[in-house]
Amino acid sequence: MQTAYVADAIGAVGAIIVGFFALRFLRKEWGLKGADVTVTKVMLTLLVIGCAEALLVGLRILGQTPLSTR
Amino acid sequence: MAVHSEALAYGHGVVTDEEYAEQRDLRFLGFLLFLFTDSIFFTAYIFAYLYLRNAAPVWPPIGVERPDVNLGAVNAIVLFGSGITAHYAMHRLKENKLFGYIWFTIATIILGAAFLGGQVYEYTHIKATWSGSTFGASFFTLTGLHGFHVLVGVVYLIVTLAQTLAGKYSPSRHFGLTAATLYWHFVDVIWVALFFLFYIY
Amino acid sequence: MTTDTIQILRPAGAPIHPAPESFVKKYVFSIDHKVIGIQYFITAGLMMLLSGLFAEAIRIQLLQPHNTFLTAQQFDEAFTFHGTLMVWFGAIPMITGGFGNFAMPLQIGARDVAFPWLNMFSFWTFPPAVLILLSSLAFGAPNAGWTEYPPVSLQAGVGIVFWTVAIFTVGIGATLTGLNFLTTIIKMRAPGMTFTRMPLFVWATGVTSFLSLVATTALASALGSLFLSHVFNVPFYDPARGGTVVLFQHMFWFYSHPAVYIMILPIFGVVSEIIPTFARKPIFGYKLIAYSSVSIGLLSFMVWAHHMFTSGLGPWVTLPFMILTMLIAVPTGVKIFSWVATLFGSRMRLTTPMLFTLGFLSTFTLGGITGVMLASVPVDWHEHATYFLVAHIHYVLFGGTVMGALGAIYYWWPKVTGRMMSETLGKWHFWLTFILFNTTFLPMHFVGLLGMPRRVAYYDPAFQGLNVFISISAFCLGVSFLLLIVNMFWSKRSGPVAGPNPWGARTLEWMIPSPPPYYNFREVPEVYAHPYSYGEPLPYSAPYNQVSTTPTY
Repeated sequence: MQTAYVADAIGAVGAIIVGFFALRFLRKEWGLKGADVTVTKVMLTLLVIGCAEALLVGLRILGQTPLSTR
Repeated sequence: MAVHSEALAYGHGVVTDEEYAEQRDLRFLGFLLFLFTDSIFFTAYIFAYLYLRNAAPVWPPIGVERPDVNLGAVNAIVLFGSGITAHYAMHRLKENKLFGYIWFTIATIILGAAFLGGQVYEYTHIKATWSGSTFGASFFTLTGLHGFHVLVGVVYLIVTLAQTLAGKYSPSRHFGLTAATLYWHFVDVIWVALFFLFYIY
Repeated sequence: MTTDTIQILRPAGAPIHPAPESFVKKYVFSIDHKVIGIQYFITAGLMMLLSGLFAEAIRIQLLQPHNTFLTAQQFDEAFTFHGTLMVWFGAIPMITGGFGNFAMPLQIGARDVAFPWLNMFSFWTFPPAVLILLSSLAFGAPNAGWTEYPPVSLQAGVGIVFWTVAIFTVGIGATLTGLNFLTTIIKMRAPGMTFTRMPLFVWATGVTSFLSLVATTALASALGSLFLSHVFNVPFYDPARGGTVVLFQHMFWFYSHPAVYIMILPIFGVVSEIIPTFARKPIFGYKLIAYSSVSIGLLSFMVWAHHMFTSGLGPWVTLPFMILTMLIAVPTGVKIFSWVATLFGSRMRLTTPMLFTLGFLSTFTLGGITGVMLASVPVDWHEHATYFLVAHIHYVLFGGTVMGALGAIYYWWPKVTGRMMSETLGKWHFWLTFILFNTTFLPMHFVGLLGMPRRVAYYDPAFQGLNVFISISAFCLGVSFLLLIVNMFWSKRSGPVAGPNPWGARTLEWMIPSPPPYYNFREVPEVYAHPYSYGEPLPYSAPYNQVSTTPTY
């Protein structure tokens, strides 16, 4: 059980940190034009969505697992 | 208008800026098309997973346990973090801070390898086998395919890092590094989808 | 045309690299798209001849209702190899790798494709794949048809491993070729060549390349799953562990339906080149034909389940697919009407390429009509997996793809080799092919409607008369291909020199010498209009507008 709480905490905190940096990049680069910048922006946005997923899992809002309890 | 009518070394020797820009243009489109076709490969197996899951009377099948989502979340963050470090690396490169590029790339490689380690842990501790059920079939095939792509990505990053140390790239000519970073982001994004499909949904 | 009206796009092409010197660099590992095209053509041609031999073996077996020429197992291997070789090792490489490689860069005024080394690599996935497939004959051949449905395909031993690995290998080349061509067409057209000034063969190759790129990877996943099922016992298709065989059909046909459009769209492109040239008339409906290619390409991804109407799918699945399948006949019909309208009021020159194209128009249309018939679910329930289906397939694939490909061969041969083929031999070849093709495959409609299933080594004696007739026609049809081979050798030995533009055509490949120099275009051409306006001056910059468009043959 302990490992589940630790994993939750690491996951949630990590998601916030990584998501924060990703959003910062996105805001800086939002106005730039060009093909590779556009592709990178798309990838970063999807990465932010991934961080949101991980955050929701860390907060026990989403996700099914035998080890964690609700 | 006789463009390029002089015989210039093709692929070796001095390449003018104009020619480099042309080649980079072609290669960027080609690489995007490659990533597109790779995503179709994953999509086909995702379709198979959803089809099999829909056809199953109960999910997960009897005797099979789904992977631990909390550890999975940590592993996912490791991979997403490596995407951020890869992005930082490209920024440093464009600002001609080669040192910064190198250290961020090493961080990316380490995080990528850590993700692979996490996957190995997952594989050895999950209560499902590749041949035992359609859950195992879908899970191990898709995450295995993804893990293989991560491995290729790590090797790609190591190779381009070595090339950078040997002086192959510059702030204005570095398509190989752009491609490696794009590939790494692609691998990241696929995991966003797979994490949702196997750990959350 | 003044220079102000030119929209200068990216200058096309790689720099003129030094000419390759060694034999290996010139003919074996060449990065020249023209040499690679010829390599594909020869290899695929040999594979089609081999596949034809398997077909003749089938026809010998079917001379009698319970013949002993082949065992049932050998018969199964024969139709499996026939289909597999024709689709992945014959038609697709010849049409995309052969014609696409040779003609498309020339038609857009480029010096090569976008990634010449990748092009060479793509070709060299082909011969090893052939060796892998053919070696399976020694170790246990696949025998569940070119569609290799589980569970039957997983029961025959190692054959399925050879089969999946071979097709996966050649599929890598096909995907990369699609990537290469699509990049080339998007980025390397000559200055002034907007999309609506491209030759229609280039439109067709572009759509086909997109299909190759997207669909072939889906095939790779289906092949991979079969491989994993057999080698690692992964239960995708084992009902005992939750799998289902219909899944394979979905994965397989999601690729294989676009695949048939890969095999026919470039042929539509070639026909769009040949008809205006030999009718000496502007093509009717350039934009109609161009956009209908795109819509066929898009629709091709939405109709795959019409191959699965008898697999137990519910009506809420089969009905949409039925409607979409019938819908795909519309853009195809638009093309056919446009071609016929081009011919209307023209003075046709009935050279061999034109004859094959006219033959194509009639036989492909018939095949298309039986396709619309089969698209109807109730009809398909009756006719699926009978000889009616075999007749439909061969009317579109032989009557469409092969007839059109033969037209393309006769059309471009002078450009590739610098020599003309014999018109007499060509005309004999055409008439024998056209008549014998129809006598071979038309009766199959009837024998199928009467109830003879496909892929059977033994049949009801009531069908014997028609089967004997079909078999004898098929033998003669096979022999008639020799005329083409003889013609090719005759042409190389004593064919008249062709010159740059023997047919009086107007696309860019006819504005350079035959055969073209390794760099294609010394200066990058500029393009001011699409090439089909017969009667107007050539829409290119000098020296490419000085070649005569008066036919010399």
